[in-house]
Amino acid sequence: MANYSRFRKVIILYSKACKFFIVGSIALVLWISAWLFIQVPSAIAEPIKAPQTCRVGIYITSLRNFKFADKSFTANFRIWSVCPSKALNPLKNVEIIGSLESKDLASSILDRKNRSEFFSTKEEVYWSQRDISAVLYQNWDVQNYPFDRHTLKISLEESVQDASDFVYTPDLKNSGYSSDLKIGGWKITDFTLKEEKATYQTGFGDPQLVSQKASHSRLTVLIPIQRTKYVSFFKLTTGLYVAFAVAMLSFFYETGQPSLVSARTSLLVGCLFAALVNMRAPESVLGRTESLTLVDQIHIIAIVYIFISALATVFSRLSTESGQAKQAQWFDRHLLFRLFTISFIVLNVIIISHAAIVG
Amino acid sequence: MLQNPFSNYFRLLFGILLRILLSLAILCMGSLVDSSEVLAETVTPPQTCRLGVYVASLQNLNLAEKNFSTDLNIWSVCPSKELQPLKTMKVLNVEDFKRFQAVYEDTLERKDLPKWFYPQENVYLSGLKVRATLYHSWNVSNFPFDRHTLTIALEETTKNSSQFVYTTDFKDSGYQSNIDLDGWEITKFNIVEQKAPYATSFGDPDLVASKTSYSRMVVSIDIKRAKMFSFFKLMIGAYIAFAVAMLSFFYDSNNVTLASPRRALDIGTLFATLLSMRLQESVLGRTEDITLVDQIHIATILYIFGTGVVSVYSRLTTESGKPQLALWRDRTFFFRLFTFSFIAFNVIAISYAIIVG
Repeated sequence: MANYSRFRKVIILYSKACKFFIVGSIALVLWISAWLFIQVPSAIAEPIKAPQTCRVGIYITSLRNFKFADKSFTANFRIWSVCPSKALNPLKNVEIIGSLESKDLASSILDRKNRSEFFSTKEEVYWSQRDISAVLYQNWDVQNYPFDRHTLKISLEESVQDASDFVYTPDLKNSGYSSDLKIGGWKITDFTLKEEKATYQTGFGDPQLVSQKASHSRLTVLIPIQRTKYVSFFKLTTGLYVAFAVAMLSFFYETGQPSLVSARTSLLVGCLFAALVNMRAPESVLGRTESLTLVDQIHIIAIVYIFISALATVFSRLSTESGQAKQAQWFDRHLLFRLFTISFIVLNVIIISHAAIVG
Repeated sequence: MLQNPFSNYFRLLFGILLRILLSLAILCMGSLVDSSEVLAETVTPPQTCRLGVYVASLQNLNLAEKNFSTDLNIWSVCPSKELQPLKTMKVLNVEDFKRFQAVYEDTLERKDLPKWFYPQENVYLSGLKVRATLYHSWNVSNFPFDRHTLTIALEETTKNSSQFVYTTDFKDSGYQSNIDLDGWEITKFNIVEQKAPYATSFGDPDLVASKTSYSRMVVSIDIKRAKMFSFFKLMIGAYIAFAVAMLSFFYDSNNVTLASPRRALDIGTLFATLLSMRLQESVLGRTEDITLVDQIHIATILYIFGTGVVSVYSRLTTESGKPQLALWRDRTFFFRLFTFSFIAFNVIAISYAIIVG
């Protein structure tokens, strides 16, 4: 009996403990859920702040010193910003991307009455200006020189604030370039201004950034240009074409002379040397490049032709030695001279036309 | 008493018409008041300061790099201390710029003895000294007979021309008379104020028009060469190469042993002319124009090629059994034709350059 009552007490205690455990568990689950419910709405309620913005524009006043060998050009331009508050001064934090050298010519910050359609709720806005002269990096693709077209790029980037905090609004209406801008031998074919986000695979150590990627607002100006004058190409290739023409004259010299070091051979060696010297000149103009430019192609073709002319000289000599002097002379003057000259002209027309089309 | 049923109707209509007329009258009055207010708004003349420039030196007239250097003294005389045009001024087409310590540490108050800003008694004088390297696109088409106009332009950057303009100080502006220009001489000095128009308002939110203009002070200095030795040095190689090429006419095409020197002379002179042509680019810079120097070099190259063609022609004539005729053509006809026509071409090209340069 005593054992039964003890057993009963244990069962009762056990059932009470179970009830307490179940109730406690339910209470704990409810409490956790309630806590979660309380936390989640507060996260949703947190408003996503729109980035601050200023209206930023650019006006190009000068483009010059297109240096192919140095891979650079010089630009003078004025940038301005119109901001709703004085605390925002994006021109102070602007970074010129790809700038080899830059200097400020003038700068100012002025309070202005707002008569524009932007920041219309504001009576007064803050207008800042900077006049900048910069030497900018430009990787000139001169493969199709003198039919090359390029796009000059000027990029201005906010260097301090992330794109989530601040973005540029491009002033498309007032941006542009001076109509009396003179770029010797070139013309501007278009002008584009756009705002983009430059993303970086780092947060630059910013402890406030949750993601590991920073993004900064960037204003990019694209100015496509093309040549209007081709005289420099003519000056670069005149020497070569004359050297080739002189080499073609060699077909009129007979090879019956006792030595192979004859007038004909010395003429070809001289032409080859002249072509090689002339080939070095474009490098000082166009810079050193890893691509085969049109000028390179013309020079290489001329050198190959001069070499084949030398081979033809040897062939002519061997024919003369085998008692076929008349045939050798006819072969030189009538066949090879015409074949070489006409094929060289045709080849030049093809490669120059190709460069003019794809340039 | 019976009332006319139309009388009420007419009274009502009359009342409505009267109200409409009154409203129109009030509206017209209002618009008149508004327009009179617009008309009454006075156009304020732009503020001005007297600005002068003194060119203390001109150096490094670099044709290849397309620039020149100058030392300038710039000053302003203003009717109020608030106007500081030297602080808001920029130098145009500047490659390099150095602002020296201001001539006057602070703006100085001076008595307006010449009465520039009468009835004010006192004016404010500021000054600064600048060393600048300025871009200049040299047109060397007619080198060495080229004349150039060096331009130094200073522009107000903050206030547009409706707010502020420069007044030129003609009296004190000028240049140092003993400037050593190394082979150049100044022929004219001019200073003028211009309005530089821009097809933009530079985002000025206070401007309704999308165009603006700024006051610009432009100093123009005309220069011409005083020495021509560089031309002589650049051309001597090409002229000697041409002369040597002409000597080839005196070699006999019939003689196989002498045929070789004739060809060697042609190719040697061609090579010399090509080298001489490359050399001048380092002096005059790269240009998209055919300069006088280019013309002479290209003509020389073509003449040398011509002598090569004549050499072949002479050889063919000899082969056809007319060696005496070939010799006569070479030494009497072609030599004279080539030499005199080359001299004539040079005289014409150089004379033209002298005239238009």
